[in-house]
Amino acid sequence: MSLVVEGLSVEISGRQIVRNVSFQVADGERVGLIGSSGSGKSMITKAILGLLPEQATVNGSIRLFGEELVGIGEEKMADLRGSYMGAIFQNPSDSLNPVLTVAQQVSLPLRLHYRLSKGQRQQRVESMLDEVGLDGHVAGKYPSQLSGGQQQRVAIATALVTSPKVIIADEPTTALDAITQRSIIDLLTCLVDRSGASLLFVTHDFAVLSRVCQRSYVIDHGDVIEGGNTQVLLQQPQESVTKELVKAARTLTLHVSNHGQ
Amino acid sequence: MSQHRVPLLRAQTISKFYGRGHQRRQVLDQVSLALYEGSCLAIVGGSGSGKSTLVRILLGLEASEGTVTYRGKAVEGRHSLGYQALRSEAGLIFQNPFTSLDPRWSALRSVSEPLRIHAKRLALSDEQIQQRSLAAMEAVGLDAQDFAGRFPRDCSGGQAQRIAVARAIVTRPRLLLADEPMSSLDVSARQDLIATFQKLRQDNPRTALILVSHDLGVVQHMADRILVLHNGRVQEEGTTNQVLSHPTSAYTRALLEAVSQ
Repeated sequence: MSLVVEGLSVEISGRQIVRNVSFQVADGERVGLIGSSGSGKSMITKAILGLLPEQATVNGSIRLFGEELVGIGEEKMADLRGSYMGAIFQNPSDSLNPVLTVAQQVSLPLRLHYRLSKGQRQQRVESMLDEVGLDGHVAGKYPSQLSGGQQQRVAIATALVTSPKVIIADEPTTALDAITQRSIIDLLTCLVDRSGASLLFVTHDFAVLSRVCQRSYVIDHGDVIEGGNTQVLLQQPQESVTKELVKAARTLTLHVSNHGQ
Repeated sequence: MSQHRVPLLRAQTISKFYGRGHQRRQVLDQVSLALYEGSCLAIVGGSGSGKSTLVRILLGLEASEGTVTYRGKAVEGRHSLGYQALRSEAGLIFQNPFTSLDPRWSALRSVSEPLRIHAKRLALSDEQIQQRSLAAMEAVGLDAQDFAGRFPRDCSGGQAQRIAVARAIVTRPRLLLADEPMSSLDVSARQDLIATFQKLRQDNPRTALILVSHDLGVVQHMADRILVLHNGRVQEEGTTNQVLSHPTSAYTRALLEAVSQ
């Protein structure tokens, strides 16, 4: 098992944000967390990444390849995060450092967590940019000079450059337009599969989920209310919250006949 | 039939350049459109298509080559008759309600602000202002008594966007312009807001709506006509059904391809 979450609870200033959540991600598996805004799904990923606000109290267990993450120190956590986990967030312009060039940005995790020569780093960065479909001339640019889609490609390259075993993607395409969204999703699943990593993917949209994840958990009020094969959840949702999410995704799917001739 | 009437808002051969010298780039190229009373026109395009620039030009906030007319009068500069009529008769809704609403103001204060600005011209008493504001909140499906005293931070994204819509309709505008109103909302909230817009249009059959969006799933439920913008050029324009089921441009076909399952 890559990731095992057991009885996870998160409390922030007296409010229970995550309640007794348990789920697992097997090696190489792509697993989804789906829920509306405010359901607590992002807090679960923040707890896994050790990025919760300071006043948060975490109970329960999060194990990454058997190693307990709850209660380990900040330094140890930063080290694990850098070498075993990769994270991609919703808004690339917020998650990229505005004063670093693309090449500096992508090589930063390598500099912090690996002992590589400058040449080796450069080589790795170049091949990573190539994998995410960015031209070499982008390397010297700053985030502000890139489109949203290009920025998210840089964020993916930064998250994957250390060949992490677990990748956490929190609404990575919500801020992008439809065509860019589709290409980023396909790129991410393809790279994750190729590297053999596992993926924990957070979204509010079943349409995206069914393209990415084999198995999914539905989160509501900080609780896992339903889980299983994504297609089964889509076809036979049991809980009213799941039914609502499926209905919304279907309503918002484009219904047209015979286009594209 | 509608083609014989004078359009409420018309843009003719709009071109726009940014920068100068060798930096000069064209962001809009000969864009024309017509919006009729009671109809909903969707301007569809990805990031960088020029749609936000077009919106600013339509609102008279930016100069361009070509002409914009509102109710037959030229919109050119802040003192033109067209501009003044347009700005006093248009309601605006933006992507992110949390940045478009003042965080220090209660919902009632935000919604009533446009009326208070025009109180003298409209000859409205404080009591009338309050009544109309509460009615606008009810019209967008908010429990006015409950929400009047709430601040944006006490609202979900969907609720906050409803407050922003209430503020846009409180002056009973003849033209509503919504720039990506659903993009920051989750799918359930999007579905609810679509229903709200449908009800608003039923209740105010003369009001025209411009919906700027990259989301064809939303557009199919709201628009009568679609104008597809890509690289600053109109790729095609037609009825919603026509454009979605028989797209003529390669870009529209790519867009449809990206959102089909």
